[in-house]
Amino acid sequence: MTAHPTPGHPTRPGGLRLRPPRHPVDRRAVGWWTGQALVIVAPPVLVLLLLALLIPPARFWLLLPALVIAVPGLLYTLVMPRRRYRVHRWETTDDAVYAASGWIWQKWRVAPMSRIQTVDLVRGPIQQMFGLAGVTVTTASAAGAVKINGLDRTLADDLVERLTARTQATPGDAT
Amino acid sequence: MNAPAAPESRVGGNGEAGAPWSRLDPGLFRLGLARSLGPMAPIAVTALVARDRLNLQTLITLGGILVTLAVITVIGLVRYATTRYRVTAERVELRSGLVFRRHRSVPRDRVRSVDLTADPLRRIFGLAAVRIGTGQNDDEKGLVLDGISRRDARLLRTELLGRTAPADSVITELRPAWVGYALLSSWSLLIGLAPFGVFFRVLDAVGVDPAEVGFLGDLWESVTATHPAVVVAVALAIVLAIGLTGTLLLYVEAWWNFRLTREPDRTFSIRRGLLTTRSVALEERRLHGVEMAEPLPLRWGRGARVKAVATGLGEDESVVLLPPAPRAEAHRVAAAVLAGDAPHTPAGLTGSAGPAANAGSSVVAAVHAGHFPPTSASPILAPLAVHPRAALRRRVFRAIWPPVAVAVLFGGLAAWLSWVPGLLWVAGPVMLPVTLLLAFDAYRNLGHGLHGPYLVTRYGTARRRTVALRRTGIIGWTISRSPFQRRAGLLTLGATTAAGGGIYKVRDVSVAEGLAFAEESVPGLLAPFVH
Repeated sequence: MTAHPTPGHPTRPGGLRLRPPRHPVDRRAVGWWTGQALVIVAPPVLVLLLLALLIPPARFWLLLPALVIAVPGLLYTLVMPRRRYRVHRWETTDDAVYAASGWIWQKWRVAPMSRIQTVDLVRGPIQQMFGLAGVTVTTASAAGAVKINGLDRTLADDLVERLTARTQATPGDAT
Repeated sequence: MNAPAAPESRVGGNGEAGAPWSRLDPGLFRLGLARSLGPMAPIAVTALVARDRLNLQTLITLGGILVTLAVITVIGLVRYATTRYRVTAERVELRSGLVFRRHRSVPRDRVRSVDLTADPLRRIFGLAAVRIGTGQNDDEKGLVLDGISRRDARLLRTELLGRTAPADSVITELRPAWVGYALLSSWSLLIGLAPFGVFFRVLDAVGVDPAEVGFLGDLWESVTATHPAVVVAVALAIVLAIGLTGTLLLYVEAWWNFRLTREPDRTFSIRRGLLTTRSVALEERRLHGVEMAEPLPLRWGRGARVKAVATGLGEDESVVLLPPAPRAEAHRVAAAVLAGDAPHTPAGLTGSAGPAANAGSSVVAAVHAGHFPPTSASPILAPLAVHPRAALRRRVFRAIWPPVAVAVLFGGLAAWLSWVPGLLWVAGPVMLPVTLLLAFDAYRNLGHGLHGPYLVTRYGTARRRTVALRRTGIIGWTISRSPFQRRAGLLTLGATTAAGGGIYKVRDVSVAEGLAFAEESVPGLLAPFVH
């Protein structure tokens, strides 16, 4: 237990609740998620529309699936980024990294500083277009990576540096 | 490094400690020849005898096989001729390759496991494959010495793991009566079907139409002449007979001579296998807990399996501490394995690199004396907290919709297509009691608790798992909530760890209870984020 010397946190049975992490992600993340959704939804719809334009006899059977994809796709594109923006949050303390993610299925992840193995900066193509970056913090667990996406790029750079410095100060990774 | 590695370089070309380089065993050379000439001869003879009646496709298939075998032989011979290894005072080194020369070296103080495997062919030629692992998930960091004599392999293991005398004490051994548990495998049906699949694949590969095979045609005729119920019964009986025989043989092959022992140097050693013998060493330091698995059929027979929750295993690798065996034995093994583990957990936590750094503890002394410290009860037997009723509602809901979907689907199909039998939708209502029973069973199986240094969680119905995970091995929490869980005030708490599956979950626990449990398991980690 020596790894987490945080006394003075008595457990209060009953009424415990998980508090959301302190910081929201960058507002531009909404744009980034919208872009991601469009990359998935738009191509099949556009291809179907184009074919419908080119092949008049099959127009009905091409427009029908286009509609079937487009309506839920549009809903997804509108709803998902905003819901995500409300859920995705992050926070670092002296002892741990804490992040929330998801929109329908939500996840909260905590990794103690003392068990962090690598801190990576992630920049996907769409994320870059919005001037954003992500930070992936991995531990020795195959399942426990904490991902914070949609941060301002300079903030992400800064965060990576800070976390790396802190992890180097605390050795041991429980393998 | 480029100098031809002739036998003269035994004097240690690199100047390091001067240990001699050794070659692989000559038996490997003979094995390589036997392995390829064996299948080659009948194929060549067949081709010669039937050369006028072969069509192009068959020729290409046979030719392909011959060429592949030849290539494999050459690769094997090159490997035999170019591989050298040595063990110096500081490191284990392996050189191999003709064109791409590789030089692997592993520091000896990093060696965590030395595993021996010998399949039947290797055993005939007195060989073994030795896998030297460094206890890290990354395969690239260990090295494999395939094809040294079994005597050398054992010596090597003794030398690398610093084992002197076989003063081991047996935790458990396979008893022949356990073979019966093989019959409770959930794989019987699949194994029973496998030979038929292979048969038709071979026919297809050789280019034979099944309808042309004489006895198959006769069989088909007699089948169509008999009552369908009889056909189904006979087919099921045949498949089950093959399947059960298969699982029985597999069990015997895999687990014969199974023996779990505790070695004096705080390692568990597992030996097993009838034809292919395997031997695995698992350091106690790497063991973060145990997992008891009870697939449904095995549970009916009051049996269980035990697996180690250990670090440094590959993705699909697992160390089995007990094959399917009586549940009481599973509890005994779990208790014995974890009991030896408990007294030195604080030392194990700090992750010191020296494996035998604090070997003088009472455990080691007790083991040397040939008996264990009094074993506390298995953590797996610990009383577990019951989960809220909402968890049952979730499972019942999950049990209801598949039968409904089946009924609606078949009903719709029958209304739409005239050839679909109208009564098929009954399958849905018939399924319902079964899925409901499974749901109730799944709820009853849910449980979590703390038992000394271990977090214990249990879940599952088709395969019930009970995991005891050392609390000091927990390196983070993952809390997930589905929309249903958010409405019902539930959460799934995942303890992440470097060992085993990476994450072990306490499913569908109430929010307050789950957070309190996390805090109690690893004080201080989650507390700052809870209010």
